[in-house]
Amino acid sequence: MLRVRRRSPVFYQNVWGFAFAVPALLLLIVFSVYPVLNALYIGFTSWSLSGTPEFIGLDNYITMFVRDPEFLRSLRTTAIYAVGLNPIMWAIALALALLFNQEMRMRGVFRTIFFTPVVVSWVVASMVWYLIFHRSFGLNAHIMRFFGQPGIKLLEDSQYALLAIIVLSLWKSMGYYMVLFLAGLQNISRVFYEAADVDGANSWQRFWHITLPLLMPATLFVMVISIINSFQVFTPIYLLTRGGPHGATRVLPMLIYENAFLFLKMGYASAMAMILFVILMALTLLQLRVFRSDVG
Amino acid sequence: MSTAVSADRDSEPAANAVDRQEKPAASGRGILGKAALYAVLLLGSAIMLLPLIWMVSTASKPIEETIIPEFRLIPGEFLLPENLVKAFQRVPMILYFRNSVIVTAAVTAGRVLLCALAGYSFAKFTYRGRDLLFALVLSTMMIPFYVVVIPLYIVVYQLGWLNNLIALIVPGLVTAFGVFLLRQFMMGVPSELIDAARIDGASEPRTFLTIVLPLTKPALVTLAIFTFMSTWDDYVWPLLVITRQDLLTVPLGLAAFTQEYITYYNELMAAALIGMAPTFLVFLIFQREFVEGVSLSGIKG
Repeated sequence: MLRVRRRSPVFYQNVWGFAFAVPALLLLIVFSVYPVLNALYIGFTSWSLSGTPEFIGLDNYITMFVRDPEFLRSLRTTAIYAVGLNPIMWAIALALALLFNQEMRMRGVFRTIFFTPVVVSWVVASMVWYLIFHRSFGLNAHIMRFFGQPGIKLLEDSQYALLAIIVLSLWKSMGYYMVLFLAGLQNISRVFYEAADVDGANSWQRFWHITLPLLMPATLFVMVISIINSFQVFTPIYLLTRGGPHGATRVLPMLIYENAFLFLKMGYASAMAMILFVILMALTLLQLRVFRSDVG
Repeated sequence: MSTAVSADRDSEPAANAVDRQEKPAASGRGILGKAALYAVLLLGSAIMLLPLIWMVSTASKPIEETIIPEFRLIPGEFLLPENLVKAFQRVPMILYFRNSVIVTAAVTAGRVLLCALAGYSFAKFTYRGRDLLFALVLSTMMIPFYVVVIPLYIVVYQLGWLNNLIALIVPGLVTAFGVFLLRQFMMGVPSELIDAARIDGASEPRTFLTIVLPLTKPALVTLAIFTFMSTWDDYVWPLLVITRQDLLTVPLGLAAFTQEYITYYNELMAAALIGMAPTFLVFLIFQREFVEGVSLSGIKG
């Protein structure tokens, strides 16, 4: 652009074109690109937000894996949450999507009902489920009274608290993945099913040999997105248990939040966020690899 | 792209094909199977709706009735309006609404405009470094929020924006996904139309406003709906940067209400109902666009 010669009108058009992108680019650089690079750097420092960051090399990473049992524990808690939630959510979402992909009466009504919780915010969902889980007045109490028992301490017992959060998350998120599966199903051309009809395939064969393989891109997308999302669960845990009781629901985002914004250990929390990033990237690549080789 | 909801309208020709396919299976399954299927669906729907029904029920009860031992879904007295008024008196809900409206309106308008400009730039112009810059935008798309939250907080802190609504607006003005989505749609705008406008003497900004924006309206609407809903419901980022009582947004206000007055279940639920009303209305009005948006994205609902 610095060459000196007569400019064509097209040149000036493209100067305008570049100018159109500048505001968005500046904002993304300041609020996305720079923070990522900075997070990497802060992870190698000790910093309490006041003063200057002190470079301490790999110390944060060593602390995480050697000196601080809370980190590995929260990794395990997050993994249990993800494993407890996702497979059952995929199964229900896929089953409903298959069902709603067929012609049936009241399809639109049912589909809307199963999708509705997606529109409820995490804050409102947590408030509502707090009432449901309440052991004296909640639905929990009413159901248990039917069996002649007192309400279960769902949120107050470390045995059940994570399970309660999983149930809430399942209710809130399932419809979202159902819609992603439905979109995938509707991208499968009818031609394949017509060909299968000609060959006399039964409905199980059609599902196994046409629907499932052709749905693979959507399935992969659902798996990647849902796992990324479940490693970032925060609001219901923050509002309902604060990571308790006794750390039973202290997932990684909760631990990062505590270290950064309660203990002001910015360096240590950043290092943990980097590990979260690495885990999510690794999981995504692993899934892409496993399922790509499955298809191809 | 055919999607979940639009299928209702688009699938007329396909519907026959489905009928033909499903007939043998349906008659084989019989009426009993069908009844069982609907029974399961009804039960599932009840489970999905029960929390929301319980919410409306609690929001309508007198306070004594929220803590009685017996199960009562229909309130003895319908006190929803009264409970709402009490909730609005107990906490400054009107203030929370004002803050949320300011933030959500600014973010939605700004994001649609800036993402459209950048999307147009990447789709319809050629300049040195364009592809590199677009790759830079794409590379930020998959970054998890918790990876950037600490440095982002530090940026906002150093700018002196803590406890200022601007901290909720400016970082949200552009998303990589928004740029990407609108670029894809702008690619579909015929270049001949843009050139024709230029030949007629329209300036570049004018061409953008009068030709490009109207032609990409569906995509702009989709982005606007998503931005509106996610910004209205956002909790984590506002939790970090806003602590002043008079600057709380609706989700922050509801959470604060819960922590301070946890025993006023009926008022809490009434406030929550009003707090979620805007997103719910937008969802009901734009259901088709919203569901389409979900299926062509990966953004959280």
